[in-house]
Amino acid sequence: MVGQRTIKKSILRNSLITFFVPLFVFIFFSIKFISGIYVDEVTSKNQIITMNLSERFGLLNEEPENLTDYIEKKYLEKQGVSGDVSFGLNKLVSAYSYILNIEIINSSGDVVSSAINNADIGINRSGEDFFLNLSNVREGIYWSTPYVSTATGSLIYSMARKTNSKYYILIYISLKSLSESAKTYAGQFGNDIHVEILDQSGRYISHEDINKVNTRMIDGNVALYREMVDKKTPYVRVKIEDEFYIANASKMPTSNWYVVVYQPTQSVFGYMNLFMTIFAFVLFATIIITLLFSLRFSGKINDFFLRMNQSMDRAVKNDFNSEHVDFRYRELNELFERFQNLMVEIKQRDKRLYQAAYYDALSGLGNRLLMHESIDKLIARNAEEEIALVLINVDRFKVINDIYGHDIGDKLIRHIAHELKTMVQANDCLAFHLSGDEFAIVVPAPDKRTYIQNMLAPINKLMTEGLFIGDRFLRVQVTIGISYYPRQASDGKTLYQYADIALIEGKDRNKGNINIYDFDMRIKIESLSKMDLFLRESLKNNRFELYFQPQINVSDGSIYGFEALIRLRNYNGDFIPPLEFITVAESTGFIVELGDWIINQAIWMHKQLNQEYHQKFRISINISTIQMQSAEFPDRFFGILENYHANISLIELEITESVFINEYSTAPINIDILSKAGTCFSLDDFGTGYSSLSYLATLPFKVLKIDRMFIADMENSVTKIRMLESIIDMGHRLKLTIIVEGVETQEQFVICKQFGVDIIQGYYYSKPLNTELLRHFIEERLA
Amino acid sequence: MRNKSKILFGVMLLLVVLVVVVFVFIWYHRKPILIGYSSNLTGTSSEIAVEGMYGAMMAVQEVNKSGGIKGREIKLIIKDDGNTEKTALEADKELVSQGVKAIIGHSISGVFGLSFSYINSIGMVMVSPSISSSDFAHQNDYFYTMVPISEYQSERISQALTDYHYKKTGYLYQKENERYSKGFVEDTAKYLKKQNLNPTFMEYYSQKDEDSFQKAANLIVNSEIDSLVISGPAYDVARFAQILYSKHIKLPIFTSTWSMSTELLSIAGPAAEGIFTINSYDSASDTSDYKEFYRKYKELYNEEPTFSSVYSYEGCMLLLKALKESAGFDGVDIKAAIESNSSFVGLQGDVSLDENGDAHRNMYLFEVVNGEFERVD
Repeated sequence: MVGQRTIKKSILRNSLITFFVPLFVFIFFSIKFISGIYVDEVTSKNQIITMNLSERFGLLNEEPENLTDYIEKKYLEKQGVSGDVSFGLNKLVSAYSYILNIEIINSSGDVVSSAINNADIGINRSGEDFFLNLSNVREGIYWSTPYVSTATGSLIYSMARKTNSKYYILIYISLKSLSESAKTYAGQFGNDIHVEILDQSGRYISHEDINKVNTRMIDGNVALYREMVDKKTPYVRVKIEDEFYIANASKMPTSNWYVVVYQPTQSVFGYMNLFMTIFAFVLFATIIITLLFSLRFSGKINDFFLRMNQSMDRAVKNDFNSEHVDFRYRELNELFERFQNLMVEIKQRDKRLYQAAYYDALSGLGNRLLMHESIDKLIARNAEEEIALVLINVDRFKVINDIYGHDIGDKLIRHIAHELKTMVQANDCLAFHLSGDEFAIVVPAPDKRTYIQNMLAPINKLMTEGLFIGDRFLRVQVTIGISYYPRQASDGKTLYQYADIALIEGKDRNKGNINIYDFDMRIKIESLSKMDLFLRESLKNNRFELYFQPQINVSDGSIYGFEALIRLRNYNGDFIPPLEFITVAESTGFIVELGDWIINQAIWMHKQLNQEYHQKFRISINISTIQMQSAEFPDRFFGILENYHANISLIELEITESVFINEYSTAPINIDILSKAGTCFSLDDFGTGYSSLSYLATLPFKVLKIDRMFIADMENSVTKIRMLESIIDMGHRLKLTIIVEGVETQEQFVICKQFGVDIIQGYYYSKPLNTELLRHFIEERLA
Repeated sequence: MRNKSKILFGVMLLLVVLVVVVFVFIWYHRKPILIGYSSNLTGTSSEIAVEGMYGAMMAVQEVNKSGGIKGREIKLIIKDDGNTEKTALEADKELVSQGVKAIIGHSISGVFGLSFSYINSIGMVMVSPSISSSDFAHQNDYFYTMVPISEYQSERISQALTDYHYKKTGYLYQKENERYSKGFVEDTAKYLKKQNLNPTFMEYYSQKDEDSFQKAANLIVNSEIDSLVISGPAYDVARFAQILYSKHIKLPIFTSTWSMSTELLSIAGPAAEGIFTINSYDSASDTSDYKEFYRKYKELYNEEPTFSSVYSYEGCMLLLKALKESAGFDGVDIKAAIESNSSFVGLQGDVSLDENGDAHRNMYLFEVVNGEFERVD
């Protein structure tokens, strides 16, 4: 995030750059161009001044030269040096204000004539520079550097000429008058133009500050001037007393002095002020205008993003309400509109997601998740307030689905849901659809136990009286489990767990009624859970064993077949009564898995024995009501047969009457499928329960197994004997094979044989045997 | 966002202030270091001062070329001392007010009285290339001179007079620089007195009084002396020599260091022949440093250096070195730094300053022979 830019600033900056940079470049080059013109003009002007000065002072220096010609011609060539010469020289000095003295010096260096000071006559000048410089030439001119006059104490310079007549004419010239002359001349050009004259070494010959001249100061820029003259450059920039100047220099031909004209850079560029002001104004105005436009533009863009941000913030807070906007730019309006549409889409999608997450699509009621959240919210709102959770399970809903199809099942669920909705609206409760056949009602503050019962009464009534679903009239039973917070459960999760325990217990023991959770239920459920776990572990660890009880043909005492019986030992090695663990397995649904295992083991062993002893023993296998009511059972059974290539005609499936108790049981359908495939069914435990004869008439049973209850103590009960005789007779009339279980004594055997029982099963012949003992038994019988 | 902007603005403001402070700091420390040069740059005795100025300018130019002092440029502020004590004092005060750290100057003792007191009172270091009056010697103060004090010059001249067995010696001294010139002749006479050689005359002359000049000239001509001691500038000595020359009088003239310049040779011309002078400076020195100095000086100023140029250059170099080594730029630090460099190698050989800041150099006797100063010993 660091270093990210804002659109507003970017627009401002880019606008400024877009306008400012080209303008700045234009102005920069314009100023450079114009200043170049100005500098050229100033330089040209100053060059002219310099040249004029150079010429003017050159002429000024020419005068003494001309004077020496005159002196030579007038005094030295014609009459020689005499007293008149001094007089004449004096007159000349008087005529030229800048000439201080004129001396005539002979070839030995002695002063022979002086215009001003006769006392100097006789003074020898042969040691002085002019003499030393000119002594070796026939004639010539020498210009001295400035020096202090001993007579006046002021600065002077001198010009000496060696004449044809061997005399030296020495003219002393006032530097002050030369300097002032230069200053006066420069003054014509205004205060910005400065003029100075320097000797070859840079000493000031003339300067507006006479002190510089008097103190024989050196101009520190002389090297630059020298270079400028030598290289003929138009001008040079110099620094004088911390200020910058543009200077032009030229060399005086006679004396080799430099005439320098210089002007402050500021004054040169002073002409540029107007242009600079105009440019600065244009630049400033451009910046301001650009800024204003950019601010306006960026403000609109910024406003758009502000509105977008606000809209997004509202969306984050689940406020998806659209608003009307009218931005200046069509694209922004479109973008905002699309954004709003997107928000609506998101809103609808969120609603759908919420609906999917919290509501059941079929019933329209809240689902399990919503129920838990609702309970948690109620608890959070007031932890002291009592809550009742009512779980309603539609009994045998799966069967209804299987028989009438899912469409009817769905309609039933929607109908129940509608009824629950109506009910909870009237009672200020919350209804939920937890799974296919399970509903829940959360009842806040149920002040009385009867309140819930009263509330549920219409449901119960509806169920028991029956209802039309489409053109089908259904009588549906519901089992209800209830638990209470905080009286029983300390939180929502436990509340549900307890209500579920009550429901499970109710489905087990008290179907179709209201079951309120209590501690015993919990213990029982826990025990059931333990047993279920034990059973599942036992199957996994091969702890189950299959025993076989022989069935003997009464007529010839041969082996008819065997009944496969499941056995399980506890950790102490003792057998657990089959009824005990089969009941648990049926209640938990484990029986389906266990049943498959039994069928597998029994068929495998049956095939082994028949192959081993070359017999056609039959094998009878007990099938649980739960198994038989499963629509998938036939397929699973056929799959096992196919695995072992078993002979289906030798297999008997034993079922009890309870398979048919349920009105909507799929068992008859399964029996029909299986029997058509050749499976033999035997009706087990006949004589207990309802002993409905209609089953025998309508279903394809081949074997009737008379329960041991008729056999036990039969010898002492005439009724039992008569009943047995009647059942056997009826069975035979129905062409059923009659098997009697529990035959233990000789008397019982004799009676059974007398009544024409086909097959005897019981301790009289053998108890259930494991495979090893079974083999012994078979071998003994076959021997 | 508003807080963020405020923080950003604050940081930027702080940065600007920081930049300004740093800029000012750098600018302040980049300001040139000012050194004063105060001397009698105008008037008839100004040659020695101008030559000294050129020497000092050359030294400053060289140091600046090599990077200045502690990265700062050296700027020489030049003042004409007006050739009087009062104007010299004013010139010094003006330099101090301009912020100079030290002063090179003055050239002649005659104008130095008031300035001497002033610079010592404010602790301003001053290095003179040519003042040699004993009045300013033998004191541990802020004044340093690069030329041996006049007592040593007098002693050496009196020795020469004795060696040449001159018995009747006349003495002339310039009125304008009486503090030095009179002291010089008196000291010389004092040494000779010890040998019972009393001065034939001892007179002053003034450049401002032509009559006094003529009177002195007449005195020389008429007093039958066998030797003449003049304590004056080159022009004065040359003028007296020219007078004697014009009158065909051959008289050995002994002069002080003050007059030893090329000006003496050029103005006096043949009249300079036989003039003796005393100096620690040797224009014919063949040390490599001096030769290099000579070449540069000639190139820059188109004239030959003099003792004043050389001593001013050396004095300025010593001062700049002291500035470089001083902890601060105040007088006490500069003085301490000078004293820690009291012995150094000058352009023509070893130079030492004693605890009072008075220079000690080898003194030589020169005689003008064929228009050149020629060492006699």
